[in-house]
Order: sequence, then structure tokens, then C-alpha cells
Amino acid sequence: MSGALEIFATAGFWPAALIAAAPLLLAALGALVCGRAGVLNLGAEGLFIIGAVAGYLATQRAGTPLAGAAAALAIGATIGLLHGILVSPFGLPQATTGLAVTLGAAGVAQFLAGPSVTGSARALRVETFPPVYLPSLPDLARGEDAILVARAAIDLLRVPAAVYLTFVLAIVIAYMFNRTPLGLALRACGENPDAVTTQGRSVHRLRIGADMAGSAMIALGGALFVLTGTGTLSFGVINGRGFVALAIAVAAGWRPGRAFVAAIGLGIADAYQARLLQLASTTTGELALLVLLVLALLILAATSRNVHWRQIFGRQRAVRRTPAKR
Amino acid sequence: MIRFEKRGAPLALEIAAPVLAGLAAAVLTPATLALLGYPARSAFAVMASGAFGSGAALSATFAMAAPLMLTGLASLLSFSVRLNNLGAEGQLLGGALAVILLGTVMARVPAPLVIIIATLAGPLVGALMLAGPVAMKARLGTDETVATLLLNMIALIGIAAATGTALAAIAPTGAQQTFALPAALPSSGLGMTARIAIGLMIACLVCIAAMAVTRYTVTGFVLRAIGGNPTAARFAGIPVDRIQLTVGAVSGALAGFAGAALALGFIGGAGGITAGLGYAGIAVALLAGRWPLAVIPAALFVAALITGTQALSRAAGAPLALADIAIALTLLAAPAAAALSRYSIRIVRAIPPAPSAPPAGSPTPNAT
Repeated sequence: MSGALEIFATAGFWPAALIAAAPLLLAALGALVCGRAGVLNLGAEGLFIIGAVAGYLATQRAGTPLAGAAAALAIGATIGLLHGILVSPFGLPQATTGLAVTLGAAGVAQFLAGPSVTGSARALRVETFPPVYLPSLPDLARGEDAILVARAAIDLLRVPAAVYLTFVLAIVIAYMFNRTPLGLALRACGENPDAVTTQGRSVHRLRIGADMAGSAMIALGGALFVLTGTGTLSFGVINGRGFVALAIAVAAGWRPGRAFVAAIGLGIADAYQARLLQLASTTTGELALLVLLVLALLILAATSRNVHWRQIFGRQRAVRRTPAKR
Repeated sequence: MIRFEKRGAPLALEIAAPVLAGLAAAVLTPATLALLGYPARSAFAVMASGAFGSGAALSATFAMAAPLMLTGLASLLSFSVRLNNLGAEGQLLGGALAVILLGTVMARVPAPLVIIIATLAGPLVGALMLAGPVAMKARLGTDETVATLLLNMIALIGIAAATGTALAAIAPTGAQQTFALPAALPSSGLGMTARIAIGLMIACLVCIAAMAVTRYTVTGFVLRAIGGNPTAARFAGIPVDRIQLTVGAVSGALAGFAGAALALGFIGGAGGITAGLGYAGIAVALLAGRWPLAVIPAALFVAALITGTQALSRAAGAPLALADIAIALTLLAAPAAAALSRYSIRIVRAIPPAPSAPPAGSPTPNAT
């Protein structure tokens, strides 16, 4: 029992938790941006996978993880553009279209990764984002407890800069939604599209834009999973995380702050069970995913009273009904 | 000037739309393969012979069609009462998982008893896996789409753990991912042809029964009322939540039964559970539209599309995930065609004159 608790104090546990949380948070933020604008992005799973594959391959070719991030952003935005056009102006059903994106993108990802990849880890490591450099504390004789605490704090901060940027992005997105005209317009797209039309803005354009930005973020989340993590490609570990991110966004009631809390919680759970498995000396990623999925489902069930889901997605028809009269 | 005008689709067009959608998916799949840089020469011939060309190909297609009919009908039923249930995959795997676990636990119980219990347990698990999210939707307002998707993944992990296979969460659609069954399970000792025939017979009978219920009974009328307008149905005194729960349970039970029957090996060709049948079932439901009977040809088509695509990817040396892409294309093409069939294209000659300013005080026509 004490061993189970000591995991929290092991070296590198908290950085591992933050590193596990960041891709989930980024993808959840992407799903949230889409969702706020009234697009339920069920393509999240496929976008996360193809982002991971694109990030891995581009990093392998170019030798820098920045290229991987750029590739993931580009491919995510492209898929988001297609999905947005299909869902918004053409009005295809969101659930099945999103599922098609997931199946299609995951299928294409298998092609990109090559026929040889069959769910096992790709042994070849690519360069990853390095953790930020922080000087270690000098050894002092006195005040050992304080030093231990300070060390733990510094330890906590020793993660790649991309992880920090993700956390900053959550704040930026929260600010954008709550304090800017663009955010207001996007929220109105989800909650009252007629109001947006009345303002003379195009609901379709805003939704496509949100879909592009959100999908790019989800794909980047997939890339970060590889490029801040092990630097290897393994479908067995990646699969399912896109859905988890989507569940975070839904359970958070499409609010960035709550998504942050949920993602950190799931990151801790992920890192914890990874350590637990190390202790048990089994190296399977399945339990990780199972824990994440069950937690996401529980969060979803527990928070659904607070989610103004129907407010967002109950008003879909209003847009389709709006005729293009001159 | 070309104008698109909305109108109800005539019956002929409503039938033609899914046919065209299926053709579009069949054409776009090899096109995607070529786009991804693989040889797609004489792709249609390869696909056709892979689906129908030989006895083995035909039996593979028909073997896949039976579970597809069940998952397709399951999805169609839940769509028909406005349940966004994307969980047929998980319910199928859940039903199969129940059989596998029961087979392992009841190794000493006489085989016929195991078969009976397992055949009942599979649908029960499937029903619970959809009734749960639907009840949560009614009581808590949980979104059932995301909940069912998460349950899909959970069921897949469960089955991977139970059978000791490597996990590939979105496994390629089709036969590739066949999970081994524990040896303790009583094999029903049926021949391949018998299994295929039994599967098709059961599935077709279920589809016909569903068609009869939805078309010719009061229950069917109630279902159509909910599908047409849930709010109006609620005001008319129909207990919408309860009926959605019942239909959800039936839908889940159908998918769960498919999984159990596959795991027990009395439907399906080679035996064993195949990944992706639930997602492909959604494509079947979209092609079938609002007719349960149309699930039969739609499932046959999707089964042929999958086996044909598998033959194509084998011939081109490409990953089997091509079948997933084919299903994705069908999922896009079917609603797109249905939406297009609801518009008529009219060519308008004259440019309409600019509207004269309405007299002050009069209500503006067509205020939007």
C-alpha cells in the first residue's frame, strides 16, 4: 500500500504526468473550439492518430520536432477544412461524418506509417522536444526539507516548453472565448446561430474556421504525444486518446479551465498507472487506455448535468433553415 | 442562373440515392489507393473478383453480410428514434466477450447448456451497453454519442485482454483481426456453408420482422412519430424516453447477439470475431435509409465492398486499412446522396426584378 503511494514521490513522476496531460489537453482544447462553435468533432480520434503519424514522419525526415509539429498542424487544418465544409454548409449529419473522418484518417495514417507497422512500437526514435534547462540546486547541509520541496518543484518544471505552451494556450483560448468579439461570435455560432446571421456574420465561415483551428490543435496534440513523449510510434498506445480528449471537452462543458483540470487529472492517472505497471514489470499500454476511458466515461456521466449540451447542439437546424435569399 | 430548391424526394430518387452513394464509394476507394501512391490498375476487376469471383470469395462476402445485417439493423433502429448510437461495434464485442468469458468459466458445464446461456448472455450484455447510455441521456442529459464511442473502446480492450491479442484499437475493418476463441468453447461442429446459411437466414428474418413491426403495427407508428418529431411526440403523450430506452435495448441486443453468434461460431464463415463490423453496420444503416428491409441489400453491398477492398489491398501490397477508408467514404457518400436527393435543380431564366421599396408601414414580406 505504501508502495502505491510512494509512486507520487518518485523522481520524474510529476513531469511525466504533465507530459501525459499536455497532448490530451491540446486535443481537448481543439475539440472544445469546434464544439463551442457548434461542431461536434467526432473526427478527434482520427485526427489525433494522423497527427501523431505525420509528426513522427516529418520529424524523421527533417530532423527537428518543429517540422513534425508543423506537419501535424497542416494536415489537421486540411482535414478540418473538409470536415467543416461537409458538416456546415452541406449539413451532413455530424455524428456519422465525424466517424467517417476518424475511420478515414486512421486508415490513411496506417498507409503513411507503412505496411510494416502493425500496432507494435516503431523501434526508431525520432528527436523529441527537449525539456527546458533548469539549474539544479546546490547541496546544502541545512534546511533539508525545504531543499527537497524546492527540488521537487524544479523537477516539476523540467518538461518540454511545448507542454507549457499548451497550458498557456488554454488560458489564451479561455480569454478568446470570454473577452473578445471573435469568441462571442463563435459561442453564438453554437448557442444561437440566428443571432450571428442577424449580425451579418457568416455562421458557416466561422464554423469552418473553428473546425480548421480545432482540428489542427487535435492533430498537434497527437504530434506532441510522440514528440514530447517517447519519440516512437505505437498505434497501440495512441489509439483511443482522441476519444478521451473529446470526452474531456464534453465533460468539461466546453470550458477550457475545466478541461485543464480534467486533462491534468487524467495525466496523473496515466503516469501513475504507467509507474504501477513498471513495478509489476508488465509493459502493456492497454491498462493505461482502459483507465483513461473509464475515467472519461465517469467524468462524462458525473458532469453531464452541468453541460449546456442541448443549448449548443439543439440549435443546429436553425442554420439549415436559414434560406439564402437575396 | 441555377437554383437549388428543397422538396421531398420522390420515391425513385430515394431508392437511387443510396445506390449511387454505394457506387461512389466503390469508385473513390481505388482512387484513394492510387492517390496514396499504390498501383490501382484494373482495380474494379480485382475488387469484383475479390467479392464475387470465386466460391471462397462469395462465401467470405456472404459470411460477413449476416453480422452486418444485424449491426446495420441495430444502428438503423436507434437512428430511427433519434438516438445517435455509434456503439454497435462495442455492443457486438461486448456480446462476444460475454460468450468468451462464459465459455472459459463454464468449461465443465454440458455444451448445449453453455450455448443456450451464452446465446442469451450476449444480447443481454449488448442491450445493457446501449440501455446504459440511453438511460443516462434521459436522466442526466449525458451525450450518448460520446458515451457509446467510449464504450466501443472499452469493449475492444476487454476483448483484447480476454483473448490475449495485441490491441489495435481502430483495427482494420474485415477479417484480418480474428480473435482466437478459448478451446473450452463448444464448437457447434457446423460446416462453413451451414454457418453462412444459418447466419443469413436469421439476419434476414430479423430484418423482415423489423420491417413488419415498423410498418404495420401501432408500435411502428409510435417509433415513426418519435423519429419525425420527438417534441411533438412528447406532446402527443408518447413516453419518448421510455420508448427510446426500449429501442436502445433492442438495438443493443441485436448487436450483442451478432457478437455472441460470431463467437459461438454458428454464424459467420471462418469463425471468430471480426473488428469493424459495428462501424460498417452504421454505413449499412445510412445506405438503408428508413427501411429495415433495405438493410439486407445494403449489408450485402457493404460486405462485398469490404471483401473486394481487402482483395484490392492485398493485390496492391497496401495495408488492409483500405477497408476502413471504404467504410468512411460510404459514411460520407450515403447522407450526402440522401441530402442531394431532397433538392431539385431548377434553371431560372429571367433575372428577378429588384424588389420595389415597400410602402411605409406595411409589413415586410419574407422577413428572415
